[in-house]
Amino acid sequence: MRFFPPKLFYGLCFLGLILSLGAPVYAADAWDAVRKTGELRWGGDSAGGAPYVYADPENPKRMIGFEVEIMDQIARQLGVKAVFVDVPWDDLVPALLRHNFEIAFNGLEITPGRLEVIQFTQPYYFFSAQITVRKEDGRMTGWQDLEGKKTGTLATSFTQSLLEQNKKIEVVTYPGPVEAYHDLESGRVDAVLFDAPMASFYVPQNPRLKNIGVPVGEGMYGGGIAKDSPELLQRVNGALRELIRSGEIERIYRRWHLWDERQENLKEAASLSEKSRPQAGLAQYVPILLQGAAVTVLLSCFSMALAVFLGFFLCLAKLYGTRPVRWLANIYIEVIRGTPLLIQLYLLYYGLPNLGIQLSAMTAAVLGLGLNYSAYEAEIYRAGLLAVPKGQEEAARCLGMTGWQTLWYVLIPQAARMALPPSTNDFIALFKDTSLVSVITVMELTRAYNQAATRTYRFLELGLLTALLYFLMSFPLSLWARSLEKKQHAAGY
Amino acid sequence: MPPAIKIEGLTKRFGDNVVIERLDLTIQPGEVAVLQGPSGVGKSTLLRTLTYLEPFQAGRILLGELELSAGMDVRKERARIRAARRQTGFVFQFFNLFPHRTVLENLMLGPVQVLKLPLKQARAEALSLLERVGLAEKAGAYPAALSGGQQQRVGIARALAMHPRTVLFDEPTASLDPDMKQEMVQVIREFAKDKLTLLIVTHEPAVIESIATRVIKLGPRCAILSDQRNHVSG
Ligand SMILES: Nc1ncnc2c1ncn2[C@@H]1O[C@H](COP(=O)(O)OP(=O)(O)OP(=O)(O)O)[C@@H](O)[C@H]1O
Ligand SMILES: [Mg+2]
Repeated sequence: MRFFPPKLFYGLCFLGLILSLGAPVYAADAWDAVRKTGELRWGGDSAGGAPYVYADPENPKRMIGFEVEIMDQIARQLGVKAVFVDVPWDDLVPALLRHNFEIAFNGLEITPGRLEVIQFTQPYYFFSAQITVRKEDGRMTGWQDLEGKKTGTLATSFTQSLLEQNKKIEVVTYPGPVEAYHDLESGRVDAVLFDAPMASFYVPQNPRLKNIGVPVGEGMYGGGIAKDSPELLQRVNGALRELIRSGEIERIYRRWHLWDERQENLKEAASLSEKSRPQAGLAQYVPILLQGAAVTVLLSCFSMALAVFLGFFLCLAKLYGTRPVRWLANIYIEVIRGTPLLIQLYLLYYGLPNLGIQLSAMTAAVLGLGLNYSAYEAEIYRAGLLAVPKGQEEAARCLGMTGWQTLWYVLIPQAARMALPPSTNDFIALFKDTSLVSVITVMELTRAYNQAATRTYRFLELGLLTALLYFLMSFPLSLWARSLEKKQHAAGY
Repeated sequence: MPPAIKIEGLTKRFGDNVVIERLDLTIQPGEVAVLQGPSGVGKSTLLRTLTYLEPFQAGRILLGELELSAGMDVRKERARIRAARRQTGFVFQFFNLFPHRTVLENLMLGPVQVLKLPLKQARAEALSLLERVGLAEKAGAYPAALSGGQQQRVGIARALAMHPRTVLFDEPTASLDPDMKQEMVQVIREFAKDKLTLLIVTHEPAVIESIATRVIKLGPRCAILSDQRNHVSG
């Protein structure tokens, strides 16, 4: 068999690496679409959307609201036109991920949960939540009175999760503020908790409702952008910073009676967002993958060491043990080889705790892989020992050596030579099987890939890069195994 | 002085195949005895039973003071079997050198691990043995790099490195080319001068004529057909 020379091989790999990093991306940054079409589509819910975005009562075809004004300003900064896309509020994030628009900009609270699926611009408004009750309802004075009461709020919103923290509050969710305030009037709910901008817009218009207590909780609105569009995020952030710095945003909020001392924080947030490194796309994930690769290598080495150690004794047990020992070794080997590694890993990690044995993920992984491969190693060593010509043992015995001396000085060195190539092949297989331990939460290369890819949606490029990493590590080993095989062939034993 | 080898009523079977039947044979110290007989008669098997590479069904074997008997418990008598082997060298038809060790290491392994000789001494002795078999310059070579004749000389040196009282040869020249046979004969003659007891299975005329002090012809079931003293010419 002939292989292309190593230099050429590594050259090709390097080329592959460069290509996979710099290749045009099939799911392009949303900014590309914006630049091409000259339109920045943004999503919001105009139904009951005041004062964020809602139909102008005087000209229902026109959208007004403070977010409309901010988006117009952002679009102008970017040299494009803002186009509003109307979607139900609780569908904002899914619609964003469906690429119905490039940015969700409608009182979307920055929450850890949402950060798992999308990225946020820097905050553009600091809000709190406001409790509203019926004017004649004297029982209600503040947050503590909500316990045991039906309280309405916006579905999937920050305020909903705020309410749900107190199990005694009966939470009723609504698609928008209008429906909620309506039910409050009619007595279906006893209180309503909405973001303060909504409460301060709707409640003064309604003579039967009143806001009570101090605003509770605190959150931030940010523009939602898909994770695959770091470029768009960077540009929108730049525009937002400009609006904050120039005082334009303050002018907008003051017009809508939304400016308060909290918004002073916007400037600090702007300088923070400027300092934070812009998302560098794929290259940013290379260190994470490399770290995963390091874990994979460590995991492989430890597991293999365990497999070699156990395999050695298993093999001796099977070859030279007394009958019950041989029997046990056989059962172990057959059971291990007859069940999937994945099940073994699950049993070690998730099953053992039922018996009170709690293993760390890394321990379970090394143990699982090591125990599994020890069965295969044992068989390789056994075949190696059996392949040493009978005359070798006889020659050693004739010198008066003990069984152990014969084994150690004569049989094992020769068997090891024969076992080395298949054992190396096994090591390569184990190396690839380490990807299975991602199921028990070990952050090795495959899991690192999975996390990077689900964050960026770049399954293809990151997948190729990950495969390349695996290959770069395993190919030299397999070349080595082949050359060992060749050498052995030449040596003739 | 007790006989070097005393075989009494030795019987060896492989299943129903009786290879040795009630053999009695005594070899005195210093004798160079040649065993002859048709192929398959059991010559190799006989040598192998002498070092207990093959257990046997009846009789006993005395190697000097050491007794190996048919009924003995092999596990309990391990030390005795090892002692018998230590003092009885074996030279194989197909050499059986350790391929992963150099020539020198092949010679040193037994003395160092079994006789517990200091490395230095084992090394010096091994080198002088190699000198005697004319392979001093091959000390660092691996067996695979040697010719058949050279390998067999290493095989003999390896057996002698253990300071045996008796050396058993199983057709030491049979797998060699004619001119290599000649150098083997030289080597065996060289060691026959030491006060060693040699038991040699061979059909090599040169060995029989110039080295052997006794020639034993075996028939079926290792029956002794003839047993003649020989006057060594060389
Ligand atoms: N391990 C064994 N298992 C079964 N039968 C055996 C075994 N070794 C030898 N034999 C049988 O014992 C008999 C004697 O064999 P042995 O090798 O001792 O003969 P030999 O006299 O050395 O022959 P040759 O001159 O061909 O070397 C043969 O019939 C052989 O088949
Ligand atoms: Mg024979």
